[in-house]
Amino acid sequence: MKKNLKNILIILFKAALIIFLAATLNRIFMPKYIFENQDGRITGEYYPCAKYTDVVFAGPSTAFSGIDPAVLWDEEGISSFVRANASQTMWISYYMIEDAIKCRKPELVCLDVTFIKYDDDFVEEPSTRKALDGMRLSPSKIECARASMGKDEKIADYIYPLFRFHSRWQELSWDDIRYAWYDKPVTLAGYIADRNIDGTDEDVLVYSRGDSDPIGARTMDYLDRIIRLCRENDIQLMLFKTPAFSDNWSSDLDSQIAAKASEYGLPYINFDAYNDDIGLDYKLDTPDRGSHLNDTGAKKFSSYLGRYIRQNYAVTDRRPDKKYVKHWEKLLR
Amino acid sequence: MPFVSIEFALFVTAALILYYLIPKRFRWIVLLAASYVFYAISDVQNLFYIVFTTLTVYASAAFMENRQKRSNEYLSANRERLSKDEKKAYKASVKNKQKLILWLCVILNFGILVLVKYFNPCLTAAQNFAIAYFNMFRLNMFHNSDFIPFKNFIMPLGISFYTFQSIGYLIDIYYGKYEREHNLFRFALYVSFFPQIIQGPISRFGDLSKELYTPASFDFNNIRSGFYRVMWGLFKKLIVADRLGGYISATMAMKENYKGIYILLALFFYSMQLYGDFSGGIDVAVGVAEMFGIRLFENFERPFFSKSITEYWQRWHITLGTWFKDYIFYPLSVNRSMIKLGKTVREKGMPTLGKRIPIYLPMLAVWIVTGMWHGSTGKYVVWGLCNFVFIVLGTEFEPVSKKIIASLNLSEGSFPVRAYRVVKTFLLMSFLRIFDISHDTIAAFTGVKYAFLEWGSFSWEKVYKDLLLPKEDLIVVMIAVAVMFVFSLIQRKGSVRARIFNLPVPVQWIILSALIVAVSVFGYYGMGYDAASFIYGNI
Repeated sequence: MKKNLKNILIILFKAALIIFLAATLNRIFMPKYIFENQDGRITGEYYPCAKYTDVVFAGPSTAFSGIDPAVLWDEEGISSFVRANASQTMWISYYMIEDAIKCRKPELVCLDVTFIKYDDDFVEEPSTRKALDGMRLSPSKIECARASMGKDEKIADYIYPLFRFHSRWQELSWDDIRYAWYDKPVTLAGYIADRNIDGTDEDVLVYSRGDSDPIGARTMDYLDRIIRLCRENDIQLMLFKTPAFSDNWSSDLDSQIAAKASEYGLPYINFDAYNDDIGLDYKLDTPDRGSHLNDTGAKKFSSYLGRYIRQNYAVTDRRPDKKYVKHWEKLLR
Repeated sequence: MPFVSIEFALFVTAALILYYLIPKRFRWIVLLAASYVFYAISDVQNLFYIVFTTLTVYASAAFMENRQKRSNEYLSANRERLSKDEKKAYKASVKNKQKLILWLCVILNFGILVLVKYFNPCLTAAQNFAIAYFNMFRLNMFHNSDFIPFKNFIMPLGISFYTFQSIGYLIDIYYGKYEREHNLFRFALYVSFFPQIIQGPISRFGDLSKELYTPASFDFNNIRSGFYRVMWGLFKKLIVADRLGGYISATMAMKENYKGIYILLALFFYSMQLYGDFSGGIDVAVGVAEMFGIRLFENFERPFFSKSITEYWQRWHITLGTWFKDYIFYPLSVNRSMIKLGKTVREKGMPTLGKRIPIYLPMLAVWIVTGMWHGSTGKYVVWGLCNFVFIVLGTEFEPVSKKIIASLNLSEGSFPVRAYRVVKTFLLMSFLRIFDISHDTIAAFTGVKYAFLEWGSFSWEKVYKDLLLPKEDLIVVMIAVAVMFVFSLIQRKGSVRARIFNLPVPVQWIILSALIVAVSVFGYYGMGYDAASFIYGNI
């Protein structure tokens, strides 16, 4: 009996060592997303914040660069997190929301539909990696990887990223070891401030007229699934488009999304129509000639967005709650 | 399901758990089920071929045994009645019937092998010939090279290996070497045992059946030892073999621009690649089998330490070599016609040639078949013939070589002589591999010519930048080859794993961790890499 117990303890110890070795290797070789591509940290940074998150934003880069949860907290007492990544497709947004709900059911989900115009077969491995590398291992992660992978990718690469990133051995630096277990937030509840200014030359935003291709069937299917997921979980859902001074959006896209939203009795708001109310000046409020908002633009838009949410949705004002106050103090330090 | 995949690791883990959980007497059933699942995953249609071979060989063996039994019964019942000559004639007729069945089964199974392996290349060659012929007379009747339909035979996984193994079994049964396996399903396991089906080793019934049908108790040492062996195989395959493929293909594809040392380097690298790939695959097969408590026959014995080509082939792909020796070389060399031919030549005043004929002619046959076994195009036959010529030359000039060594006051066992022989054998064998890495025989001979031209134009920068072998990768390969060399040196004094297991536990852990880290990090796998399948898996 004693001998068996000893053997079992030895096996457990060895297993623990193997797991530790595997995890350490994984951590060392994974991109750190600290000094560049910081949106790769957003998914992972959500989990410590999950229990203090009432509003989850999901969407592409326009969301993480245009929505500053600190403004929403300061001005409206809304505790939110932006689960957005570059080129985040509708299916990734779906699994982001599903994963968020599993952590803690939010009061409101806000879906930025800016990326809806891209094709159903859009595959961009770096973006998928940034969205999923930080996600905890769960059926949502596996399903999300399955939905997003290109033909050369494998599920195992997402379950254990070393299989994908081991080829980085030639470019490893001391920082890869130093930041292997780094867990301090790099974003502010998913917001990544861009302080550059590269304004537009034009003053008036003009959409291309009509004739957009229909939104892809797969994208629409995932939009349906997001709506149903929120309904089933009794969560309010807001469909919106973050303001951006770009010419690849069309009023036809607006019509298609509005039609889908009305099918479920949901409102859809394109904030491009409220540029003057928001006070956006695309000569100053964009770092890339209108594709995204910079920090000043994000602050203006977040202030407007906070008021809009407060007026139209039932979201708790958490400012009287000490735990929330402490959480936000910690985040803002 | 490739050996180097997560799917295979999970498959083996699941099979192991199931294998050790169920009672011992049913364990072979788990192995059979696992083998057929493994085989079906590669392509369900392939099952037809392996089932056909299993059934025909099983039925033939059963016929031979039954015929023998009935013959024995008849002879014992009529012991008094039959004369000596009648008994002899009866035995001969029985043997003839058994031989007929043996040949029928051999022809059927080798016929299928030949069909799936050589039909497509032969047809392609015939088509090309036809097109060239008609074009010569300006009869442009055929506009594409695929005008003959029904030529798409897909080579079933491991067909060369299981066909050889099964036919070897049947020949042994014919000669009464073993009792045949009466249980069809147990025999099916012998044919299909999954770790060895892709690239061998080609096991003998007498060795493997004992291991397969008498399951060992669970022993953690088997798991540990097997795991080390698998990791070592992956080390050779993923760090060395797959990393060199790019350079070899690029150099041979552009050999007009990269002559001399580039080609010699490609030949050296190909030796490393082939050894890493094939012996690595065998390590995985042997390691996985060991986890099930099953010992497979070793297929390599440090071949690059051989002092002659004959010795090299006794230490490289050992199970194939012994198969050819036992089932082709010996039967041919003791064949009456062969002995008679040797005798006739001796009587005609050529005693040396007369002595050599019963050796060299069967050897020639073996090398032609070996060449054909390795590939379906003519270059492999030429490669086999070159091996034969080198072996004959080596044997015939051995006395001269000994005289030269003696004249230099060196003994046969001295280090310089041994080193010279080892290096010479390695260089010759590496050079012969030019047939493997060239498109066809003509390209191989062109490669030989180019290998001795423009030595001065060599530049490492071109190797790094134009020939797909970056400096960092080359350093990794060289370190890994050095590790393999050191391990081979240690292996001369016994099992490396046994030595590792005698070391203090923390040292064992450091070694295993280093192995795992090396394979995981420096392995040539995953996205961005195009890890090759096992070279011998396509035979």
